Amino acid sequence: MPKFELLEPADTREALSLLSELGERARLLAGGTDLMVNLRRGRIRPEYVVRILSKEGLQGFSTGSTGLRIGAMATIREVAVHPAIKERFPALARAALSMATPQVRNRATIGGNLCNASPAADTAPPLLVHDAEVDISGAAGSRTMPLRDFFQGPGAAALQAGEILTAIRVPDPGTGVGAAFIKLGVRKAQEIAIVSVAVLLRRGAAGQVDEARIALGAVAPTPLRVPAAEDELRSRPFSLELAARAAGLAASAVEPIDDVRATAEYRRAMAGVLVERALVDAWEKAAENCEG
Amino acid sequence: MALSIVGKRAIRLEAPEKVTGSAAFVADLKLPGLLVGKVLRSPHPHARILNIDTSRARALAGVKTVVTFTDTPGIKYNAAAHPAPGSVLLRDQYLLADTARYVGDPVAAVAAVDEDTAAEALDLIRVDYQPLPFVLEAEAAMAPGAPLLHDSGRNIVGRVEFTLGDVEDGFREADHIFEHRYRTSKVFPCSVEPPGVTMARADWSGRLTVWSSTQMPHQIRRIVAGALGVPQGKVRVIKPYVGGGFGSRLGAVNEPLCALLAMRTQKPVRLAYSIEETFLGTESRHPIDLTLRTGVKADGTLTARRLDAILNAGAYATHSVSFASPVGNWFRGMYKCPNYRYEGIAVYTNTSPSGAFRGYGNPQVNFAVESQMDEIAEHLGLDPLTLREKNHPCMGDIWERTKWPIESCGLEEALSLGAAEIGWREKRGKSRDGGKGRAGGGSSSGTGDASSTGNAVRGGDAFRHRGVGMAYMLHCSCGRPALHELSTAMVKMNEDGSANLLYAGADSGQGSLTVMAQIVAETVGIPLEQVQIDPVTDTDLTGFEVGSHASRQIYAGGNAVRRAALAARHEIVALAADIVGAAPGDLEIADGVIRSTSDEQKQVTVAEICREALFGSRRRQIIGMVSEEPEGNPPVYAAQFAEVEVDTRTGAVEVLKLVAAHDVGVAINPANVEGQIEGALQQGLGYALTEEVVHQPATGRPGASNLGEYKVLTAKDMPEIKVIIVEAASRTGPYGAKGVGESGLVPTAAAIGNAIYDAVGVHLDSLPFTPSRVLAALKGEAGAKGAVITVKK
Repeated sequence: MPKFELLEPADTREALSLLSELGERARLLAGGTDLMVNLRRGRIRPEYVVRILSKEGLQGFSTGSTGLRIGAMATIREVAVHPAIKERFPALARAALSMATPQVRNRATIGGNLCNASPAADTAPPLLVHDAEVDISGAAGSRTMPLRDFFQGPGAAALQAGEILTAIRVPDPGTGVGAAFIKLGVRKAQEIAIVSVAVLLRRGAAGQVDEARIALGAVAPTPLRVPAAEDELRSRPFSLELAARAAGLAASAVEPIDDVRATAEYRRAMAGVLVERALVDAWEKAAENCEG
Repeated sequence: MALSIVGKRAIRLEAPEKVTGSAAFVADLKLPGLLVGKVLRSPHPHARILNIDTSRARALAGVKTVVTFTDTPGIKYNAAAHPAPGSVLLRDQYLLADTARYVGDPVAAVAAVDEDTAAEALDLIRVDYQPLPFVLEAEAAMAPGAPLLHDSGRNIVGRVEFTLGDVEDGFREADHIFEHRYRTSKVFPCSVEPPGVTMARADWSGRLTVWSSTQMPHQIRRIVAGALGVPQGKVRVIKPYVGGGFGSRLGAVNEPLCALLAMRTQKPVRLAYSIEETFLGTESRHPIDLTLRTGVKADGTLTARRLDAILNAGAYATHSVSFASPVGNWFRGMYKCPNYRYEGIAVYTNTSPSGAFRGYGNPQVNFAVESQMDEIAEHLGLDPLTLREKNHPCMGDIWERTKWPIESCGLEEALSLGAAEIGWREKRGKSRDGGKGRAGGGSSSGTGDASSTGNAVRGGDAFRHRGVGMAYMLHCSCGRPALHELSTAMVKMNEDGSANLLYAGADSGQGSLTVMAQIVAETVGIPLEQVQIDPVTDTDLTGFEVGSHASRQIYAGGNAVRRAALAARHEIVALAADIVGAAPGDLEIADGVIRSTSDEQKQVTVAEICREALFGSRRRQIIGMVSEEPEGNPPVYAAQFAEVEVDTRTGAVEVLKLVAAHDVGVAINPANVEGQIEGALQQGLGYALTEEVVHQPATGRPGASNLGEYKVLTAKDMPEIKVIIVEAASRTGPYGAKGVGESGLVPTAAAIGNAIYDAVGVHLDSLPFTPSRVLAALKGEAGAKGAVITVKK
């Protein structure tokens, strides 16, 4: 492993000033489950690794009337088992539980999962269909942006040098909403998605789709929403045929590549299949949430 | 006398050491001044090495030696372990490459004071490569004009032919002829301890000691001595605990290279390959291209069988010159047929060398033969079980593999118990009846009629289809008569009545140590706790042992151990007879006490006899020693059954249940037998569904080089497993035992493939059954199925 100097600022404020001073020469350490692998494989060679000693403000969950705030350093396991997430954002809990192994989930953080900006990041699709926003802090101040705009390319997040992600905000989905997450891989654990799909549907009183959001992972340079497919669903009565049509539009919207895990062709076809299945699943759950 | 220890589920002797983490593996061993070795590997699949500049690496503080081809003894060697007579070990490899022949070929090595310094030294070595044209596929490597790997003038490294009767006559007699082409993948065992963990020390007296994570300590001694040009007597090999063998340690991995570093530095050196290096530069199972042609009568009688196999040997011969022989032997031994012909050709390619991996050619052959048998049964309208029952060789028949009569056969019982367990009669053929499919989900989750669209929900379930399939297999209990199968064992009786077994059996995690102790305890007549065996094997302290290959450990090694224990027992009984005044034939031993069967008053303990022998009038220790081969090589039979669910939209195959009914002879330790089979099923499932390394056409690099990319199945992926032990005792094995180490994975892929056919009506001809291959087959895409079926009227 390449040598680096470990810096341990006491708090976020001190970390921000260090990061802004060191710029590209430093990398932030959260759970380390991506960082250490990349260091070991020689993909990155930072001079400094910065670990914040006090995680105050960076961890934990707070729920309010408008939604949920997740500290960026909440671990994937905490996200997977948190009662409020399991109840109100089950697709996110399921995505978190699908990630890696128990050992990695105990270390890895949700902030790290997003900042690593992998097209296959497991927590990205469910957060995207929940219209999540991210809080970002830098030496110059803080800002909030939609998660949709956060992913800019493989491994590229919309963070300026010296900025860190501090929290994720997920608005409350309200009633009549169902969300689903499906991850396709060749094994059931320790797997990077070949394709992942999250869907959120709101069911109207007359059986029509009031709101539709669809996000996919591992089929484009970034996790992405597919507006054309969402538009197709909105205001229409739900049916298997409608779901199939929307799924077809989703499959046309993706830009997959060939890699060791699958071919682009297979990924595109599976994007359609998974969206269709997730739509059916989400619609069922929306019905349950209406009745409940 | 009834058996009291054989047949018991004795707890592993080494379990406390292993579960507490105190068991020492090679990487745990330390010596004063221990250096760390590392290997520099070629990034090119084929390249002339013009120059290697090691000056900067040598100048780095802490670097003790840097070696390249010119620093090796310049002796060509072969890393495979098999001794004569049955194998040809072509010497085509130097310790470090003169020409790089695959991505990962070692071109230089360093020894330094620590890991980081060694890694830094590798970065400082400059190699000038002249890239050469390369070839990755065996068939392409055979073609005229293909790039040549070695000076032999052609890439064919070995060719084997067998014939019985006249196949052309046989095909003329056939009512139907089936011809298919099957392809198998390049897979690795991925044991918990990666292969290639060695520590070596060259002491000032000229002695070379090698601590090796091997399956074959005595073979390693011979290979190391040969590769370095030192007398064999100067080499000592010590094997501590080993974390899984599976064939990956059947020959030398890096022992000679580590020894070279130790000789150059006169310091102890540890060379431990990472899991990434496993995929780059250790031996895999051979990918084989199998063209199989079978002639059959309308009633299912086989009239002619022909197999043409092309084996991808990789860049160096290792086992491959003669590897085509076992491939042909598995083929000809499987079914009775008066006419067969086999031709196997092993071919060099610019990929990492192929070698031994659990099953030694049988998993590949079985996949082809048993997949085709399923199609034959289907065409003839026969139950697949009936076709096997009709054609398999049975007790008393000549086994074509050995040309010896078969000692025992438990296949029919295995077929019947396995079929009952999977629900064969209720389930087989039901998916394809009516064409709609026996959809999954409904029966297990109770979500109702899968094809219902009334609620516009569960739309996916109509695309999930279940099926059951089976395959049968025959495997061996050792390598006789082709291979040398010598074992040497010594049972030494101590004055407290306990026994030491001195035996170089290489338990690499399979639990054979415990079984050997059970054999000694049972045979001598003492409690299991009174048998001591050192898990550390040392070639200086034990007699010659071939090692752990060909599922031989219990059958061949156990034979020597039982016979040595018997020799000790004879001495004990003879002395006891003198002392208590009884005829030796009148005495029996149990639980450490010798009793006369006719007079209960006449009894003495084993401890008293051993003390008397040592300190009494005899002044001689009771020791039983035997060095011999077993008499036979009884085949082991198995029938495996799989139930699968296939998602016809994603192509994903989920295995719901595996039933493995194995005739293992007598199970000396049933828990251990089940463990062997369950572990093998995990590897067999991976072989069937997910595991594969494809060398990339553009770069020659392996497409998977870590455990993230190479998909070994996890605990969560395992289906329900049912192991059924069938005991058809062998005549020649210790207590009737036969082999079990490899057989558990041999028929798994075919059973799963045949279940996929039952579920969705397509046969798959290439391993593994990836979702995209399943989808392509379902769509009937060209190239998805290379089979040609000729049905003669």
